[in-house]
Parts: sequence; C-alpha cells; structure tokens
Amino acid sequence: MSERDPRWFESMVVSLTRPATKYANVLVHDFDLAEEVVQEAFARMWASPSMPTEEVHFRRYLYRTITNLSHDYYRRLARRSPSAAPEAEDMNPLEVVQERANDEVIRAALQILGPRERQAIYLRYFEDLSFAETARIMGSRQVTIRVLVFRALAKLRRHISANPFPDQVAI
Amino acid sequence: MPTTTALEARLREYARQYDRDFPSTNGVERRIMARMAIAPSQPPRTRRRWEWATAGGLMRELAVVTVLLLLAGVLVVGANKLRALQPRTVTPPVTATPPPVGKLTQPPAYWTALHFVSADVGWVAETKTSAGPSTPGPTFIYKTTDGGRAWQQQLTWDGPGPVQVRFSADGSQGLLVGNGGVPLFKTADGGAHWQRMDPPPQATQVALQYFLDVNEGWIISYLNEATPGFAGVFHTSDGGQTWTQTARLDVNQEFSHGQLGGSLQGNLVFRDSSTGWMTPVTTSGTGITPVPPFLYVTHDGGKTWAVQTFVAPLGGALNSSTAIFSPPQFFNDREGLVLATQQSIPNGPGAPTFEGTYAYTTTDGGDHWSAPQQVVIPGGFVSTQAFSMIDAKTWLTFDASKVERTTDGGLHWEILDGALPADAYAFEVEFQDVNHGWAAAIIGPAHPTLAIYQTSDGGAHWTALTAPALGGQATGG
Repeated sequence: MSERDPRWFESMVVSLTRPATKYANVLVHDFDLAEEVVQEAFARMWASPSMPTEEVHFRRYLYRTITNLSHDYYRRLARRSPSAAPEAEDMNPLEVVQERANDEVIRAALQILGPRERQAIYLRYFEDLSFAETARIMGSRQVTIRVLVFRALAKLRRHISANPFPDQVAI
Repeated sequence: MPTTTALEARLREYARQYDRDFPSTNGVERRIMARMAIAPSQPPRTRRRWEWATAGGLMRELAVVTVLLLLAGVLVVGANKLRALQPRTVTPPVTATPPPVGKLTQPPAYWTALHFVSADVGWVAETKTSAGPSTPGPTFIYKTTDGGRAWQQQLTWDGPGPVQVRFSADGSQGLLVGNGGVPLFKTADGGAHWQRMDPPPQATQVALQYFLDVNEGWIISYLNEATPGFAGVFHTSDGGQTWTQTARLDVNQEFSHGQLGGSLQGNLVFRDSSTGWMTPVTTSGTGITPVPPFLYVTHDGGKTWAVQTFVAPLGGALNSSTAIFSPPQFFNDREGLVLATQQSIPNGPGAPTFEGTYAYTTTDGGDHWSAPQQVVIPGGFVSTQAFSMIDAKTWLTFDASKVERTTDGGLHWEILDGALPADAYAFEVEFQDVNHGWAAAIIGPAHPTLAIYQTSDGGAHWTALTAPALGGQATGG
C-alpha cells in the first residue's frame, strides 16, 4: 500500500466508521454528535502528516482522536454552561438503543460509571480488546487499565446486587 | 451479588444487542470522504512511518534511563515521587487537545438533499457545519424556479438535514423527512408554506422509515412496552397528518433469519402500497452459521414479512455474512435492480476487502430475481460515493470529481473526462432521465464552497448553476 493511498484510507473509512461511531456514542451520548466527532477525527487523520498506515495503528490513533475530541466537546459545554454535567442528556440515541436491550439492569448499571470507566468497559467488553490494546487507546498503563476495569466491574456488581430488577432502577 | 464471570458474560451479550440495534452510519462515510477529497493531502513522513512506532526504540531507551532515574528517586525522593513519575514513561498520555495535524479544511455546509421536478423547479438542502464537534445544523431549504439562476430560502430548522425529499410531479405537494421522522414537514403550495408533522407518538424508537410519495409512508418503531422486542408498523396516507398502527411485530421472530437474535437494522423501501423490502444488516460472529443471501419482503404493507432468498454466485462466498445489499430500486412497475457487494470477513484486526459486486434484476416487480450477474463498480464502494442508477443499464458514479458511466449495467465503464472541476466532490446527484441531471458538489480545498451543476448530455458536460447563499453567507456560484 502506498503511504497516502486514498483507496486504502477509504477502506479504513468503510470498515471503521461504524465501530468508531459506536465508540463515540458511548462517550458523547448523542448519535448525531458522535457522527460529527468521527467525521472530524477521520479528517484530522487524513490531514496529519503522521497518519498511521497500518490498520492496527490507524484504529488506535483514530480512537484516541475521538476520545480527545469528546473531551474537547465537554470542555466547551462546560465553558458555555458551568452547570451542564457531561452525563446529562434529553434525547439520547444511545439510551434509545440501550433501552431496546434486553438487559435493562446492565443498561442502568452502566450509567453509574464515570467516563473513563465506561470507556474502559466499552473497549474491553464491547470491542473485545485486550487490556494491552485498551491501555494503548486510553493512553494509560496496562496495570492502570486492569485496576480501572476491576473497579468498574465491582461497581457494576454492587449496583446490580442492590438493584436486581429493572423497575427498581432509578435512572 | 453476581460473579465477575457472570457479569462479563452479561456485558458481552449486552454488547451484541447494542451492535445489532445501532443505526446505520452510511451517511457519515460519504461526508468523511468529501472532507478527505477537499483536504490538502499532507506529505507522509517517509523516514518516520509513525511517531509511536518510531518512538518505540526511543521509548525503550527513555524507559531504561527513566528506570535508573526512578531508582535514584527511590533513594532520594521517596516512594511517593516515584509513583508520580512512573506514568509518564510508557505511552503518550491522552492529551487535552487532539493529536497535532495539518491545516484542516472544513466546508461551511454539506448538501443534504437535491431534488428537481423539472428543468426549472427544484429544491436543495444545506446543513451547516460547526467549527468543532457539535450536532450538525441548522438546515436550510432553498427553491429555484428558474433552473438554478436564483434561489429562495423557504425553510430552516435546527438539526441535521432530511433523509428523504418527496415532491409531486408538478412540485406543489412536498414532504421533507428527517431521520426517525423528525422533523417531518409538508407543503401543499410548492414550499411557500410548510406544516410540521409529528411521527406517531408511540414511535419513540424509530428503526425504519420510508415514504413512497408525498402522502404514503411507513415507520417501524420499537414499542415502549414492558416486554421488549416488539415493534409497531405505522402507516400514513396523508403525508404524516394521521398515522395508523397496522401491525405489532415480534422482532425476534420476524427479523432473525440467519441471526442469533432479531434486529431492525437496515433499510426500508416500498415499491407500491403493498410490496416492500427490508435490507438487513447481518453480522458474522461466533455461533452464527451463514445462510444464502436474502432480504425480507412484505406483500401486505408491512403487516407480515417473509424471507426472500437470492441465488448465490457459483463458487462464490456471497452469503448472509458477506453480502451488503443496496435497497431494491425500481425503474417502472416491473423492472428493478438490487446490488449485492461481497465483503470479505476480516479474520483478526485487518480491514475488510470488497470481493465483487453482483446485480440481481427483476421483470415482475420483485416477485422473482435473476441469477447474479457480476458487475464492476469503479472504486468498489457504493456507500462512499455518489451513485446514480438512471435505468437498469445506465449508471453513473462520482468518485470525487471523476465521473464514470456505464450503459450496459456495469459491465463496461467510460470515464467522462473533465466533466466536473478537478477539485469538486459530488455529494448529491439526481437524474430525471438518461440526459438530464444535477449534481451538488463541494469545491475545495483552499476555501471550500458549495456548487451545483447541471448536465443535459448524460453527464459528459456540466454547467455550473448559482448556488444559494447559506444563511446570508455567500457560498459561491
């Protein structure tokens, strides 16, 4: 593959847009916004002279860019409205999808996690990534991610234990 | 308290459900390719393939040095300092700002719809972009009555653009449909006045939607019931003014062919008031045995659905796990076409490859489909480029500014040299017949602007029309 092959980049767009949007949606809780974040991330990848030319590195770099753009979004949101919490949303397509899920308890439990915990749980269990790869994408040490996931799982277990039925969960 | 193993299993099952129900992202792929087309390409760093990769050796050296320093730190500064220093030595932290990049090119807006009912009368939709990540919008609707010399802004709303635009042949009746049926605008006077409609109140989780014309449409939405997994079919025959629920479907029964569970992910299209298709997005994975390529078909307006199987090519690997179907397109009451692209299943982290495209044709309105005919699609990816099928044999593709045309149903293609400016990226394309068509494009890369082109010779030559001003901002012409 040539280093700036538009066809190769296009194949990355075709194969990674959907998983990247799913990932962005977990971070920003808005499908339209997730699409914009992913679009911006791909555009930055293309404009970057150091764009990775191997799929595994490309994906890692893309996810990190998405993470950073999501953080940017929340910072801008916070500047505009100091009281606006990142977790707050009215029309949340992620929830629309999630509400469809059979496991309502899991859906509700995931909401109690912090952004980084949710990010780690998503990469580890939704994308089935190894701890090493999750750590690379999140820019942390592997041991840190292991601890983060362990604590998040403990939180989820405690929450599910205290709220075993969907109708007992306060959202 | 559930065990960790049990919780992990539930998380993975939940992840599968999340994937099955996640909406299609086809629209954003084209927007990404548009931005790529108008962005100035940065020369690659040939000596350093990638910063992190290159940094690997350097990192190891740094790590060794740092470890020595840290050991010294243990002696001098103490364990607390050591913990503070350690995280900086392994991988770059997630910085507050995105990775450094070259100059970005962001067009002021994207075309989100284009529709002409005659050589003079047409509408376009522009959706404004923002400087940073935020929900797209507002969207502006413009109308021309003089073939694109002048445009009048008719309507605006805050949010993404329409996914369907329908007008009657005389242009008086019109309908704009947003994703999920929101927003839904209707006009009875050519767009001078618009009335906002609502999707049915029970349709809180719209999965599929399609309007056959300005009056008749369907919405299939998950129902907000105590027992999940049921969807309602809602039908309107007055452009969304009133809706009737015509069916309640068990998704896990009706739409689970070749899948571990039911899903409404895909596209909906109707040929007439009774017959329609749902093109499913099927997935491959552990425990799923691929079945022959198929679509779901209804003959009673969506009340009941059946599997319609397509013949797999000889020796090919086209099946439910590898086939990506385009929605069936009909050119008259009987003649229609559906394309199936075969995608390789990635084994590991590699990107999928496209192994070929097959055309299935019908001459009886979709009751029967032909054997697969292998065709060629320039570029291979239908989803990322403007693609127009004017009739069963005449198709055009727009790969950025490169226009290619086939008149034999995809067997041979001719490049229409210099048809569009070299820095144009065609975004929305529409043809009224084999000769007359329009293309809405983004022109870049220095100062991206929007432009509209018209052809009267089947795409060989294009004439620039005046583009409407975006929200008072001049956008070229």
